[in-house]
Amino acid sequence: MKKTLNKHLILSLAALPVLATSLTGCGGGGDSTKTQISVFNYNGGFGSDWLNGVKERFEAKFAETSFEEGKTGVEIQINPLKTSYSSQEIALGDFDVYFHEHSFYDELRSVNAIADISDIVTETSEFDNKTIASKLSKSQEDFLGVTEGGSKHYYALPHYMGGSGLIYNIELFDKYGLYFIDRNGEPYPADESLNFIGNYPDPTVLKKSTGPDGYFDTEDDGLPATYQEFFMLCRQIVQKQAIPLVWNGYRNYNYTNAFINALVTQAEGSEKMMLNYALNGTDDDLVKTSATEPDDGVVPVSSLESVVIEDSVAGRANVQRQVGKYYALDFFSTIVKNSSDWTNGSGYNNGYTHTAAQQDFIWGSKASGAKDIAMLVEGVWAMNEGKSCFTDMEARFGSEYGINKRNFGWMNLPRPNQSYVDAHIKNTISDNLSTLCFASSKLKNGKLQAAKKFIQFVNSDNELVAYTKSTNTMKALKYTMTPEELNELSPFGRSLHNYVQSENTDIIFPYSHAATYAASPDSFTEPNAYRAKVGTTTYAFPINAFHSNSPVTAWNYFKGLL
Amino acid sequence: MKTALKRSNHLPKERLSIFAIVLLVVLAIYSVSLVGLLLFSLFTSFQDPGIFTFAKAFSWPEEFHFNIGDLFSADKLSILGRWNGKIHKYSFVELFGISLWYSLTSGVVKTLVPCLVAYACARYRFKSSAIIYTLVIIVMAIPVVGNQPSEFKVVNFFGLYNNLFFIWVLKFSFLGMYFLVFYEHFRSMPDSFSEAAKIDGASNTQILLRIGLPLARNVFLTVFIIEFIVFWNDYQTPLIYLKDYPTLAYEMYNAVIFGSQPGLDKIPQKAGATIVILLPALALFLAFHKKLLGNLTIGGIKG
Amino acid sequence: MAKMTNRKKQSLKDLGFYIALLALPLLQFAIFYVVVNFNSFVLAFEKVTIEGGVRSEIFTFDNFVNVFRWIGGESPNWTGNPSDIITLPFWTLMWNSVKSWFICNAISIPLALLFSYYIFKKFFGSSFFRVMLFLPSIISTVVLCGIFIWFDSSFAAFMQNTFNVTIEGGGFLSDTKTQYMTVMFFYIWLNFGTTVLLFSNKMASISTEVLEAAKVDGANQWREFTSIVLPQTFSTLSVFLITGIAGLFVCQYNVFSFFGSRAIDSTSLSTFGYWFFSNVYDKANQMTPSAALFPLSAIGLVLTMIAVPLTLVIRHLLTKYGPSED
Repeated sequence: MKKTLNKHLILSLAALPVLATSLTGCGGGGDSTKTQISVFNYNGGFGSDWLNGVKERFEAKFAETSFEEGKTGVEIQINPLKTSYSSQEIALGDFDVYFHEHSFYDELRSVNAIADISDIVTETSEFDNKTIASKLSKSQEDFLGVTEGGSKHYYALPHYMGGSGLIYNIELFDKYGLYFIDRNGEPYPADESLNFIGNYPDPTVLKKSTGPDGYFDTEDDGLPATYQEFFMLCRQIVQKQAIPLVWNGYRNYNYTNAFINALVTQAEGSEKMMLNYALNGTDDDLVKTSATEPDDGVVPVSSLESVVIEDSVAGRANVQRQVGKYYALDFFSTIVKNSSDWTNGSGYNNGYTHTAAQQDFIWGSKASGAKDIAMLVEGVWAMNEGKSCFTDMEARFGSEYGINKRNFGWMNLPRPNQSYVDAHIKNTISDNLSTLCFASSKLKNGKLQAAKKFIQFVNSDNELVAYTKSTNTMKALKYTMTPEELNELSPFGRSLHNYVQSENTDIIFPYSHAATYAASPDSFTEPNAYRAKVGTTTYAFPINAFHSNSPVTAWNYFKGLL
Repeated sequence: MKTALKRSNHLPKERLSIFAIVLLVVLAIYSVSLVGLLLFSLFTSFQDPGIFTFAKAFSWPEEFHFNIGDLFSADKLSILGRWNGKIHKYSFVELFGISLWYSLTSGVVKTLVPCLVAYACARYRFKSSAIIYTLVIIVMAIPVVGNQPSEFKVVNFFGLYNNLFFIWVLKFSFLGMYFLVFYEHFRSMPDSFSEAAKIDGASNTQILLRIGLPLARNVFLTVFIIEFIVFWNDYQTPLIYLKDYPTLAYEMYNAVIFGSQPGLDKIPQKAGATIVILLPALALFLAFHKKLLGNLTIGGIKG
Repeated sequence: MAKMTNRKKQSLKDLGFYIALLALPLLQFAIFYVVVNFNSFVLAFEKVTIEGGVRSEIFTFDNFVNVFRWIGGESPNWTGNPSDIITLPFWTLMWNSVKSWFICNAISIPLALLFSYYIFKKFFGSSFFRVMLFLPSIISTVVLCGIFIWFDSSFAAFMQNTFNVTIEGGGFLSDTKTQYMTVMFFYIWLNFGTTVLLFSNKMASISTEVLEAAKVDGANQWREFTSIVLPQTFSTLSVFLITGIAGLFVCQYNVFSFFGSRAIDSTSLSTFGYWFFSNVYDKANQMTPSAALFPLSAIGLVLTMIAVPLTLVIRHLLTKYGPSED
């Protein structure tokens, strides 16, 4: 009897999860008296909160409009899901409108997955009296506008700007004065600490250096201009008992590849970086195949050559010889070599997720026993993704720890050496998440009209501003914000806005119609773009090669780039 | 002869020698380590996900959070797939149902088929019985490496790819260790049972259903429970062949342990999910462990 | 005469029943074993070419040429697109596979035998330990791997904060110096289940008289274990040794569960089983077979041709030189 009772008890335990969840409700259905538009939103770091406000405003605006016979008004059904679909899956038309990441435009068109939205792109919008086309950059227009039947057609629009790089802790930088002084052309002092304004009795009388952009009185003044300065900064931060930088361990290959790509982009500039995708043009800083490893880390001009890049596999192989790639790999391998001192050591730990890294960065020394962290290897979405950390801190320590009070910034990345700074190459960032907004080709008539109107509404100026206010990130279109609107952003949001909107910043849209690119667009994305063959081993990721029992040198890795 | 030999599971207990004491200590450490690991997960599931770091993992929580209960909401433990060609967000109940279907059907066929084939080979002395027996041994002994691409092509050809209803066809195989287990069992059954039944006019089917299978009940149940648990925990087959119909094991792999789904991206939440997922298999095992652990022997393949 | 006709009728009935039982399983075997492996054989002799934008699969020996070049120490371009297959040196994978197999079996089988003996003798706590040893087989490997990763990281943090001992990378699984042994430890630690179950049940079938006779002769427990129990269990042991050899090129040792495919280029962790699965799993389920699958089939075939004679040799040696249960 007791045995049977025990068995029943045990089996009931097994059934408990099932019973519990059967009591939870499942939504669905909606209001069939209205035109229903199902919207897929990639629910990653940028989240879906921004879409809730859009939904409310759009539904209110069109509450009395009839798009379909027998129906009045529109109902937007938001489906926030963290998954990326293949073009074939999108062609099935499970959703009406997509805000998607990892989308390949030519592939989507080739399988007839997406609707022609040229009319809403080129007509003057009722929402802001502008055309969406006027908000596109030239490279976006060249890519998204395809000539068919003598006229330009658009099938998708850019969604959010997804760049990668470093977020830096301005509070920490200010606290210790971690800004370089202007040396006025003098060599670096032997005592490295004398490079930093925080080590002087009266920092206010000192002028900060130009920073990576080479100009004074810009947002990046005092930040490390070159890789050499960056390493000095790391050593200085360690002396201040803080941690220079962290990245997550679980997807370290993704994040560090994106970081390396961001360094390459900053070094090469927009025109040369676009050669990686467009495969048309001339590149004058390719390292000769016969070149040997430089002793001082600087590739001499005699080792460089100018090559016409063709749209072919050979052309792609050539562009992998861009000298900026060597410098970026060398920079990163130095970081890896010093990671026990310059990072929190968790960047290779499978259990250390990106949200844990964000948490450590945001909490800093407020977490008991932890140190402040100066820089986080992440993407522009990270502060939005880590919102809950700010909320938790605010609840515990007061409102000065909320997201709108904490001072973090988007860091302008350093350049390989002073000659790059002096060349005044524009700050360059790659919009690398392949994000697009489009409507399903399965839509017809009234529903298609409603979907297109929704897309047009989402891309109107007010909604673009609302998006930025909600996420503290930027949409990948041209729009302006008033000072009052900017004040509503977090310090990070303002920093990112200023960086992106600066006249001295180029944003590259890393996609093209080149045949080699179109044949395999996924292989051009960051997780796959830095594979290398060294000896008889093919490495998928630089971090694995540099952090192994037999580490590979940056030069050998660069020479083996596939 | 058989009845004259006593089985050694009736041996009286002996005192512990040094040798046995050493083994006892090792086994005790092993048990503590295993239970400790599971308790660690349970303990972690009570930590505050907002402030959890590995440095705090062994600290007593300031406040206990019931992350396990959190996970029963439809949003947290849900995953995307496709049902009847249409996109579908599977709830926990549905994932549980798919896992149950996959484990039950695959478990039943993976037990029944070797059982029936072993019965046929053991009880019917046709030449092909020896051939099939040898075939099983050879296949077990011969490693086949890298046939996944080909397997996928064939599975796709027969319309079994992404086919939840017929996924068990892939498991409808008599190959494997349990064929030998059943074979040994049926070989050791006295012929007198079936001969007496035949004299009474029973057909082969009746003998199988009324004598053969009932006598193999314990072994059958044991093998079935083992196979059920294996399929319950299998994520690699659904990963490749059931893309649109995710199982709980796949959910564990894709979304819980290694994913970063909002609401399931902090360690205490993931730890809570592991407790929820392992409860059914654990409960089944604890309920039937005596049967499971007592009924399997395997003969040699020397011959 | 009538008796013979009845016997013949019964014989035919038996045959009919026998065929009915075997028909479907044999059909499944024919399709999902014979045809699959034959198809694998065919794939190994094909490769993908794209000319003028048209993709075709052509007959070729190139895949096997590349495999033998790979064995010879080269790094072949398998498909024309060098990043299609992440290649490690053949002998690195071979060494990792053999080393891992040896470490796991050399430690786990003797331990399993000892634990099984303890359970067979019904020493103190044997029922409890039997449940404990089998418990990991019940729990999903992914779950155990996940919990282990968190525990490993927590332990490293604890050691750092409490004793100022640094485990590089924040855990034994992250430190390249200890990663491999940690994976081996995990595999051995949590894989006793079926082995102990089958060994102990086999031991339970040893006759009491033999054991009592040994006791009378003054044999202690160790002697009993080595001279009676081990030989009597040899048939079961040989099953594990032979199937273990068969798994030499297939076993992943949970590396995929720990690292996904990110350790695919790891010269210390990657075994054939893991390397193969990582290269295949996201390509196998595409509607148009990836060009990488054809050379991978050829590699699989060559590895099978290595493993088969090895398995048969081991089996022969065990049969010839292993102790007899009699």
